[in-house]
Amino acid sequence: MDKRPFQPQLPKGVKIYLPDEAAAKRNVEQRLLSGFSRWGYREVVTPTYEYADVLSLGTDETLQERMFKLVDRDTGRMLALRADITPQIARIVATRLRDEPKPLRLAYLTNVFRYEEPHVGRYREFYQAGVELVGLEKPEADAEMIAMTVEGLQALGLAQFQLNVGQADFFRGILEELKIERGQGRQLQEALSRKDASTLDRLVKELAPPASTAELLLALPDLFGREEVLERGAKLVKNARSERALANLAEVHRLVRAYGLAEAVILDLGEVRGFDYYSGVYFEGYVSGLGAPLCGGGRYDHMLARFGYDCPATGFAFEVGRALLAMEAQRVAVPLEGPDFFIIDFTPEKTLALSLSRRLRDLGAAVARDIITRGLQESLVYARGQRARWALVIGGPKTKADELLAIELATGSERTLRAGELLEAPAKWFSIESGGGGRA
Amino acid sequence: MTKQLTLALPKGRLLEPALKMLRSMGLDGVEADSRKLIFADERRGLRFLILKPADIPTYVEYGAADLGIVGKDILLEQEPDVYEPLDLGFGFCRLVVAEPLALWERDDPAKWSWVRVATKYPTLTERYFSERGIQVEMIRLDGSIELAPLVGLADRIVDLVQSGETLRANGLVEVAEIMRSTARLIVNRASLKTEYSPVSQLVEQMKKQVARP
Repeated sequence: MDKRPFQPQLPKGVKIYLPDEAAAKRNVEQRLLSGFSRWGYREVVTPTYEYADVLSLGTDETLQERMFKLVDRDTGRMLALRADITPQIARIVATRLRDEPKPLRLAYLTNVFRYEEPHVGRYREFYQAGVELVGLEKPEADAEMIAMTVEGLQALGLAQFQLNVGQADFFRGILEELKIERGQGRQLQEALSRKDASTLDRLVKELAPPASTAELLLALPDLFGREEVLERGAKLVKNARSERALANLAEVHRLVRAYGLAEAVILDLGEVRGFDYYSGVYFEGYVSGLGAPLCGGGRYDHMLARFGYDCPATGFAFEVGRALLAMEAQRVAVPLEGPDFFIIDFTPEKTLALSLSRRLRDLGAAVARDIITRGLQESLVYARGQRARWALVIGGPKTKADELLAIELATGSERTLRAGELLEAPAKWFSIESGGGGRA
Repeated sequence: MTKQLTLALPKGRLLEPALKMLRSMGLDGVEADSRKLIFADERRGLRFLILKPADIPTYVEYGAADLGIVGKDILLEQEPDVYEPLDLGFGFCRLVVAEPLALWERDDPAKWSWVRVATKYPTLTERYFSERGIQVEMIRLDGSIELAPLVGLADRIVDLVQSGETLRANGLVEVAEIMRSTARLIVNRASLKTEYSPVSQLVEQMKKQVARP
């Protein structure tokens, strides 16, 4: 026999959700998914692992290095756990749905695995709820993503949020204009991603571009704010690609304003994070009280082509763990519900308890029974701990054989009644809709 | 409703020049000599935290502070995911490799292939040596780094110097410079967006102070 003591450690980066936490997580996921389905998005389920080389087709190098990998015993090929669902969906669309009428509106709820240091509400296994809108290059598609994201934030009960919206092609146009090598471009991008004006200043001096380009580069860290940014940007920009990007962003912003959401959006022409991944308008959502973005997305028109099908697409995802942290920070209560009834039967046969619980469940109620034999007070303490609404006591000292005692646990108020009364007017006792899957 | 902004200030050598800058901006409320760690400028809706310099990036990255003042050396060492919009210009110092005079007299840095180094800056040290193809055995210390070569804990040290006085006092000589550092303003990514207008105003004001001759 193995004499080693049992060591119940968890590996770094995973998280257990205990019942209350799991209920809060499920609540968040359901609010988001039901929102997605109201916009006409249909859920897809992708495999947890695939061949690493296939996933890598749609994954940038930094993320490839962070994939959890294992060896396929059948073929000896390398497998990887999904580190991002978008390449999986791109592959599915390219291989299985390419002949379907466009656009495709797809939703997902999934866990994602990345080998990285756990930080701000994100672990090595984390959960994402999101959508992909495939087959549209129009600004309306980008605006739909932004509007749905704002709706998602509202559905979670969050206030004081901002979507930071950029356009990846704006900076690409500037890089083209500079005609610099990749390493130098990378340095500029890094300085910009930190809005690090002093490093940017040094790099611009080294590159010594034409005066107008230098002026634009140095202005980039400050080119964020409300609508006026578009005008400021337009005055500085001199190349056609960046001008097109700016016009595209202006059109998306016009539509966002038509949705009545201009207040929720900050435009940031100097945003270059996620630049390698996105091809057009992209965004991240921030809320007051959480130091990291809790949702984000954007246009990735070139990814499907890597899977053999050239087709524009955009999408976004919420990080469920961060959404929960943000709600906690803003003190948004998540309703935690227990069963409608908790039945305590002191008779030896338990006949009434069994038949009553079955009939109440048939009507759509959630019913738990006390199976441990203990005193009434102890049973009531347990029932309160389970967040039950009513305790139904059968065979207690206060009631006759065909009667039961109903105790409303929140208030402690009691009433004696016949079992039949409960079944005749169930709506007085619990809400049938919230009963979940009731057959009433 | 506007949120009260929190600015994290570093204990130690950067505190005095940081407070001087804040005072010339009309911001007050921090008593440098007090043992208190948290101060408020009620009138301006600002709160100040006094923290160990190495903790400032963490406070700002997680949003426990919206802004912070911290040396570039610490930013390069920790690489926090924050905005870094302003070089404040003060607090100049250099990160250097140093060794005892006796070693220096017969040492040739071009021949290094393996070194044992004591430092507070393991990431920067590792990167500096590995870029030059040198294996480094790191002795991670938290203070009094200059002592390590004197007691045989390490052959060399990587540490910050301002005047070089501490090195000289301990019989050490500088052999190479790794980087130069000044104090930077850092900003939490979410704060810059969700508290867009008060944060940008504060950054603008600081910019004006820095630009002053």
